Amino acid sequence: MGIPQATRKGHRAAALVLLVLIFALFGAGLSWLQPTLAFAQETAQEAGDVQGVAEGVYLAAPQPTETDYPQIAGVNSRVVVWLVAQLHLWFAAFILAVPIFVLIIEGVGMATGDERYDKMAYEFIKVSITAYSLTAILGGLLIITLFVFYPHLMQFLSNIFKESMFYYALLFFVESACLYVYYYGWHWLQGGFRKWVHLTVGLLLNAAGTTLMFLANAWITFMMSPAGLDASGGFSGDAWAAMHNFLWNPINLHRVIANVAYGGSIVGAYAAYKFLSASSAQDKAHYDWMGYTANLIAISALLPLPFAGYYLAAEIYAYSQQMGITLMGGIFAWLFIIQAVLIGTLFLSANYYLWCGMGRSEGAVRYNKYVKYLAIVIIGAFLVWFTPHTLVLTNQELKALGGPYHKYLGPLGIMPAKNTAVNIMILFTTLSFILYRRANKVAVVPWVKAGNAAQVALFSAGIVNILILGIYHGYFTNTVYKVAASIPQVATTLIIIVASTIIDRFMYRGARDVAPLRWGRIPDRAQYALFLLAVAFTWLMGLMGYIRSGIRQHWHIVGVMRDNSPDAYTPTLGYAANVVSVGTILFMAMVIFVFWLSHVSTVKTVPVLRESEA
Amino acid sequence: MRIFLNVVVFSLLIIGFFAGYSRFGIPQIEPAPPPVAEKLDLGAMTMEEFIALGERIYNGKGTCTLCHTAVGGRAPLLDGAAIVAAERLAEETYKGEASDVAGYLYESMTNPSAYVVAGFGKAGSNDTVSPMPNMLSGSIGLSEAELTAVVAYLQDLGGTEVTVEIPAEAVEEEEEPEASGEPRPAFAAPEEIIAEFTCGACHKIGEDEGEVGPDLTTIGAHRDRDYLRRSILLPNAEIAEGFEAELMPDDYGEQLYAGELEMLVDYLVALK
Amino acid sequence: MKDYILPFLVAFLVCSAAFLALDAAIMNAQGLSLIFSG
Repeated sequence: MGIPQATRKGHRAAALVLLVLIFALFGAGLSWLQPTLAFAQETAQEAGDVQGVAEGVYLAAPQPTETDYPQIAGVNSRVVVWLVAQLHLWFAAFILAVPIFVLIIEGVGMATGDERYDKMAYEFIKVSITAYSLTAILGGLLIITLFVFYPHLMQFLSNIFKESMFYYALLFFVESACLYVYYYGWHWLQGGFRKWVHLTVGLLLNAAGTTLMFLANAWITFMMSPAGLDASGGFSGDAWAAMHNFLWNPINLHRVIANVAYGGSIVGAYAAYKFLSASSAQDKAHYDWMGYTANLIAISALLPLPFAGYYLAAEIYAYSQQMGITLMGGIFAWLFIIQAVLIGTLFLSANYYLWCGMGRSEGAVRYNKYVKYLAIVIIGAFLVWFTPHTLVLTNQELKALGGPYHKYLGPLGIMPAKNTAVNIMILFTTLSFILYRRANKVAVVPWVKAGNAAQVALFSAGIVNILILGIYHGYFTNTVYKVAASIPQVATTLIIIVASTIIDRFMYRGARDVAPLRWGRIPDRAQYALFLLAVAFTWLMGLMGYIRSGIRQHWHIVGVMRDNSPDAYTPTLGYAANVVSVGTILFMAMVIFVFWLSHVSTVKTVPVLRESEA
Repeated sequence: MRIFLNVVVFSLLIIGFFAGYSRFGIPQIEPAPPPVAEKLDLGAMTMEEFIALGERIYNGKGTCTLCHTAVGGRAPLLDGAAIVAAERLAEETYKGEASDVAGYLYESMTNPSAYVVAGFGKAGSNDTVSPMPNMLSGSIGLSEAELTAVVAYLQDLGGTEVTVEIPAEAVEEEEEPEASGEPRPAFAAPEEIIAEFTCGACHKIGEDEGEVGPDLTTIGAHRDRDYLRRSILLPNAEIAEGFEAELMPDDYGEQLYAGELEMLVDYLVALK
Repeated sequence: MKDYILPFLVAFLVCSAAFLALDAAIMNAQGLSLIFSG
């Protein structure tokens, strides 16, 4: 590069000052947070010592009546808030996830020195930058609609969470600053020390974004599992207790993982579209690789997601058995059948994409014969998974069936069978991935045969173990054992994934390539698997967002503040599915707009960049 | 443009499939409407009516008599509760904050462990922890005004002066949907029935640890379907050894639908 | 084929034993035994 030495030094100093400023800003935010929290704890302490003194200082939960809820003629306030909240969440999940894996890809590019990674990371973040302002606009719209339609609830909540809401706003500015520096400074902060500054800004961006989400999560989990309240529903003054409520961390974990999977799937759809419309072989190769990476990210996050979901559901049970029963055994039970169809769709389309991708390699023919067996097992596991168990039947149907459980299908509907099916599905997806990775390689280590034998033995012993745990403990013991046995099942799956990956790494050390991978040689229909993945993910997120909120039933804040609005009923699943579908279509329309904008901006900026580089 | 349209049509088809499956592939259950919150006008209520409200809550919604009864011996009898309250306040083992009889009675419902009558503590707690739940929360969930009505009833029951005042704000009385005359929707799962009829208050089942009735966690191992069905419909036909008769309500046959009864029996017989 | 079967059998036995030990350990940690008892 022809930049004079002095200018370079200037740039470096500017970068350093920038870094210090950002750290100072971030640190200041944290140090301001500290005394407030300490103060909150102190007041709670005092309230505990001298009971009754704190009473009256903080408001008890208001109990508005039906007429207290503002109505706008012709507007269904519940559906409006529902759609706006869901759209905000979809965009937020996307823009929170992208910087996580952009940072990782950028780091990989820096470590390997392969510029293609850096280029791809930049393209990923570019896709999310327009979505960022859209997220903020939708967030603002959400606050307005909430205050317009549910003023009493919002007043009560903002009284409890005033500190965290203030820091939310503050952190939003920190996040914006980091994002703009990270994105617009991408080309400026290149090479050596400056690249480290850039990575640090990326790290801060992620820290700010994730903290933002955790704050917002505290508010919504407070509505599900309220804490920091006295027996009559009045706020005790301990803001930290209200934030650190029972379901906060389970939701935090679940959302971080799900966001990454979701972000990967959306970027995958972007790459798929670019692939389909690309005219040159070079572009096709680039977008094929981008789609593959995005899919890989989505699947890696998808694999642990059922376990995080299981943990969340278990914690909901632990918090309130009643809520747990409403969730899994009551009116929402059928929703999990829909969920099974959707997750099955995700797994099938992800596997299908991998199998199609084997065509990039000349060596894949060796493995093609196994694909049909993988497909059979995965589809079989999928079918077991969405076999319903308890059915609500009319008396006539009951007589015809001879009981509420089907004679043959009934046993497949219980939880141990579903757990077994999910574990096997995950293992076979791992197997698909192993085959894909091997497609173009020939191992050269002398112990290839023994290594393969060990891997086959690992998988078979593990699957036998999962089956025994599922069948013996699932059908011949009591409930306590059934639940307890699901944990070694999960542990077995995780151990197989880790152990087989380690064996593979050593076995394919220095492996010979059959032929150069031919990126871009993939059928168009594989790209539709990526679209399917993105659409199914969006729809699934909408559905699970509905149940997360819906299990509160006729409560704003469970057990504390009743929802007396005219919309406080639980709708049928068909109705909920329609709202989710409308939301998905709206979201997709907005995403297409975002992608179109980023396309337009590329057309304009690329020549300018070339000029400055030259 | 053709690609764009292809992708849009493909995506809409997928969304249509998911929506269609949710609408037509699975049964559409119309969930029960939320329980109606009915306002009672306390301003127009006389003390007699307020005491009567307390009695209704005591015998009904509050489910107090499930345990506070002469037969089970699970919890102390309360006909003299208002009389002994003054002595309790002075005792060393009293850990609460009440200063008068009404306050003591109120506190005993919101913080039952403040004073545990000798012999009625939770097993193994040496009479320091009460097995009674907080009446303000949980599935019983009485309001403050309702608790005050129960205090008034207990003071009246003991023949002492009623010192509480009728609260100014309205009391909410939750009414179950079946009272509206429409048939109630069927329960979808046995756990729901067990939760709704609070079986766990007396029986050990699921995570509940009731001790008034037999332990049900492994009931399927030694009782068959017919026995269990009869025990639900006619609880007093045969009494398990070591348990009292006449404690379990005998109207479940009228409250449960036939399908629900079978679902519940299937569930119990599978507990082994 | 022989140099494949033997390592497989050995590995299968080792893995089975390891998984069995894992099951027993996790069930014990939850206060239960591997074999159902009442």
